[in-house]
Amino acid sequence: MASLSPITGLLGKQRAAHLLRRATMGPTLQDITTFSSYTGQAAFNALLQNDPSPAFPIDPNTGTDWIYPNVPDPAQINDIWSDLTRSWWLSNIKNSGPNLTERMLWFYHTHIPVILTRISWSPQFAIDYLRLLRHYSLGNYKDLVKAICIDNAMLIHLDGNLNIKSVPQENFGRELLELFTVGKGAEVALGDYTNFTEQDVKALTKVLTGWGIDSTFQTVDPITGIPSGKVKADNNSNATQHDVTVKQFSPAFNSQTIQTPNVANWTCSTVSVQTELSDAIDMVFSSSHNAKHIVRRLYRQFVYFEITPTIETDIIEPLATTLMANNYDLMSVLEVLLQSEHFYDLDSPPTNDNSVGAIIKSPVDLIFGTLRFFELNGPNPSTNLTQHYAMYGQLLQQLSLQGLELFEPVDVAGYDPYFQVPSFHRYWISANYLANRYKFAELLINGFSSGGTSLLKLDVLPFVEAKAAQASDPALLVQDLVEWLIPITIDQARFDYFKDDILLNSGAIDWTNEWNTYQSTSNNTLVKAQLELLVKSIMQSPEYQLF
Amino acid sequence: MKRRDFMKLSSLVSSGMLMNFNGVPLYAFEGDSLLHKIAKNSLNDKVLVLIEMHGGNDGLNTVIPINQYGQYYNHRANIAIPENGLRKFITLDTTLPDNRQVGLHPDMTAAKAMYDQGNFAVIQNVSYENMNGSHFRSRDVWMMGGGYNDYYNSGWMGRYLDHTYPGYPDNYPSPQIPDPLAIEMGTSVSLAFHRDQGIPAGLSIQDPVAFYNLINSVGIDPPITLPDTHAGDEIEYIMQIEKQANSYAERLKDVYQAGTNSNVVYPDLYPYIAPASSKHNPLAPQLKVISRLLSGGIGTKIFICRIGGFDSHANQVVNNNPTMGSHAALLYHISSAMKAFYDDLQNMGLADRVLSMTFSEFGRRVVSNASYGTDHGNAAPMMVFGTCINPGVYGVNPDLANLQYGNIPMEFDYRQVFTSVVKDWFNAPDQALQDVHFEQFVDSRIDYVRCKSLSTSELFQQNLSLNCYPNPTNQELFIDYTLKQEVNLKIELFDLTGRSLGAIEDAPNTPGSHSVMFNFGQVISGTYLVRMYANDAVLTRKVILSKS
Repeated sequence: MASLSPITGLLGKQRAAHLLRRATMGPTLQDITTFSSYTGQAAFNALLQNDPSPAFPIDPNTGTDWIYPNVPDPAQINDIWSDLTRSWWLSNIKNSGPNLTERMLWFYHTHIPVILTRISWSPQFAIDYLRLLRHYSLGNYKDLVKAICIDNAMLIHLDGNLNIKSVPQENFGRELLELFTVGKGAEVALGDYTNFTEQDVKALTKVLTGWGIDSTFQTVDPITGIPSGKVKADNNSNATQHDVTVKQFSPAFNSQTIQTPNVANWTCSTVSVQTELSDAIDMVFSSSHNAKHIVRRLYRQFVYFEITPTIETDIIEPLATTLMANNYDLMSVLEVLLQSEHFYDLDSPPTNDNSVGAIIKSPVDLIFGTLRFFELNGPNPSTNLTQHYAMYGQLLQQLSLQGLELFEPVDVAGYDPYFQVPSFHRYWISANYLANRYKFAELLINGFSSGGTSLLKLDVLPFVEAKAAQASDPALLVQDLVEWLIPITIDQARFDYFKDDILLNSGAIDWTNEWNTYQSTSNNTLVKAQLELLVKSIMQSPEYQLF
Repeated sequence: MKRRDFMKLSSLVSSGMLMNFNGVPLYAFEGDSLLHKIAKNSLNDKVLVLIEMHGGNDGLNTVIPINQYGQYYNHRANIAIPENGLRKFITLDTTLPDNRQVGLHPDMTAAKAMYDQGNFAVIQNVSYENMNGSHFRSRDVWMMGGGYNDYYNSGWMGRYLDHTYPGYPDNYPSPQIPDPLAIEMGTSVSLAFHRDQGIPAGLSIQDPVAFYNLINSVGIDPPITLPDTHAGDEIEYIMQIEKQANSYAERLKDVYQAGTNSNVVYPDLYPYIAPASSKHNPLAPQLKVISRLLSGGIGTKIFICRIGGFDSHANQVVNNNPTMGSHAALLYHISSAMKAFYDDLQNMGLADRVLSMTFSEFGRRVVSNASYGTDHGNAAPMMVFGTCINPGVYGVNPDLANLQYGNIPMEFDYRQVFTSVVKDWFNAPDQALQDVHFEQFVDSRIDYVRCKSLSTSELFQQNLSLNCYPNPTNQELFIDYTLKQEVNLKIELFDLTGRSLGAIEDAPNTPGSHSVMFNFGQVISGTYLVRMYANDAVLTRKVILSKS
């Protein structure tokens, strides 16, 4: 059976590397060394060490950010802001420490996505959405959902701001149930999706009526300190568009009703609207379907996409119980999962469903995992902002070529690889996407540049010289590189292919001799070329696409 | 990527000579007395182009029920297409009965022109039982070819291709089937082309030449053995995709470069008011590539194009003119791109091979909302384009006084529509229909395909007959046939792999009884097929060659 029992002892290198690949945006060699001497619990505690909130992005037109009380430059155009926002996010991913923050932010975004073009006319909305995800990255999922319901970006993205009592707009209410909370079960009758029904969509939509955006940023969530939307109200703070009738839910939610508190004259205070929203979310979160739905999403993010009946019984259900017992603190689940025998393929008795190295990297993981591993830095934004953005512009294009339009999923459900049956992460692999993933290795080694200025380049030789145990020995050298870059153990034939066919060019090269010559003469021509070929080859393997 | 597997095929091809025969390139091998046509595929040469209207199309503003205009207007005054004025709906066909009187959106003049040429049809109120209001689930249902409570891991097109081309992917490409079985325009492959197991039967491309150059610039040898873990499964999947890409990249480039478009200008800009993001025609460039691939002789059976932006919860029209805006632009794009596509195909003599149709995961609510939009609904019309269809309006206008939870109820199951594709258009045998899970829809399929193979009884009515003797033969085969009328005729012999042995030169095509002779020459003993193509009918006889 699959086991959630904790592993014992120190992690050691392999397990530390596995943990860091899955739980952070990618480890450095130093991170792996540090974590290898931790126990599972100490490692998890370390993963909770949050980075300070990153400084806001700078608009090169104004030299400052555009977050209230600063104002966006009226001469700037929406698309540029969107790219500045994406670049900011990617630089946060690039620069984050060995912790869960950016991984969880990514998880949240893939689970509760927003489409950037829908909100780009008010460029702070996207930043605030990311800030909100970050605020709850190590926190409570229920609190996040309560906040996201009235987030300015989400109110626009799923039309919540158009949902008024006279003309209900179901878009958000439906997706809140279907995507973000209980999820859709089998359709057992017309409009009955087991976990919720069309009646619940309509009732929840009524609960959610009457909210609007606040593009003056005067409404601030007291818990997060982040601007939010607000209740549409008159001068006396009475809600003007909220439906105050009783909302009757279906047996999927135990036929509960939700009522607006303190209704008078067919209206209520803005506080009542907020209280009612909170009550409704509490009701939704009391459904065990909700806990299971979220745990399955976590499982797919951190372990593997396939959830067999065994996994459902042995892993999902107990973790869902844990999640509910801890009032939707997601860390309570990850604390168990990321220390479990199952996570490390150490289930006892052993199972044959080993998952180490079995997730196909998203383009973000492929590109930024690589940059982080090789400790590559682009132009310094504080001294060279233009080139900083030029580099991220090129990396955004690479993401796109690999099938990720960052912050711009085609579907309101997000990016296909995170929800689309039957293949999930395999949707990252089409002929085009795969070829562009391979191409990235070549581009990185040749270097990205703009107007003749180098922006980003992987210099393999100095990295190997600094990190390899004994670069003069071809077997030890290849062993290091394979261990660094490939998440699974490869067989002898594959190892020999990298060593003999690639590095030694089928026996034409006496590596040790060439290396020693390089050390004594500084003539690096041959060793540099062969090392670059080797690293490029490993990065153009199917194995490198996994983590 | 490594091209090991491709070498076999390309060396085979390069030893031959590329010929062009009636617009279809053929590979002819030197030193062979017979013209060894490599059949494009083993059944017929029909092609399906599917246009996915992503997000849920508002069918009521696409096809307006004229006989219920008052109800229509009352349900959606803020977005209703007017019945008067310069931008009123386009009456499709005044000769139709009242309950089929429909108007097209005023920006669908191209579709109207196609209808007048006999090349456009509307199938009304298509859906499935217990329509699912979720984009994702509903899209899956349409793609997988099941009902609301089915959960297949494959798409109906994937299953059809799996049946028709057994042994995919290992046995492909082959000299007989050198092309991808299906192509999705774009860069990703959706559920539609997924088979029950393994990699999808489809390939996604944008620009075939760039695709070739990219594929050939990257990759290393794949691993030889794989670990028995999930990681091993994923590596195998990636290797298969890589192999598929390698296999087809050069072929696609060659076909594309061998092909051409005619002088038809494909549309680009929507000429009226719409948001900037809706102005450009996203479909036309995709169709232009398909047309050129077809002209280059590609044998791919199914193409899918996707056009997004139909999830019109808000602002589907501009607020001072319900005939313009994002939804109008999308309809303009589809209608005008389709017209250009078929003009292009007709100029090149390819149109009769291509059937096109639109589909969308669901229609939209009859009543509009306050934000000039519509929420998720149920049934909606499908549009069918082609020069080999029976034009018309299938089904009747929805009864807007009797809605089902505010939605248009189903009149046709979407599988009734697709079954006609599989059975009539692709001429698939019964077993294929079973494998696709469409067998229960055969009797209720919709008769919009005009060019179809005829059943034996239908052939009998046409007085077609074909008789081959002696059978078995040891050298010469006499082929007797009878025609009731003058037809386009071809009599061709094939081996069981679909490879042609050649066609009968100058077989008479006039009414009456005829006899021709075929000499098997150097061909070795075995079982062969004689096929007579008479217009759209095909008769096949099995013959045995037994050389003593």
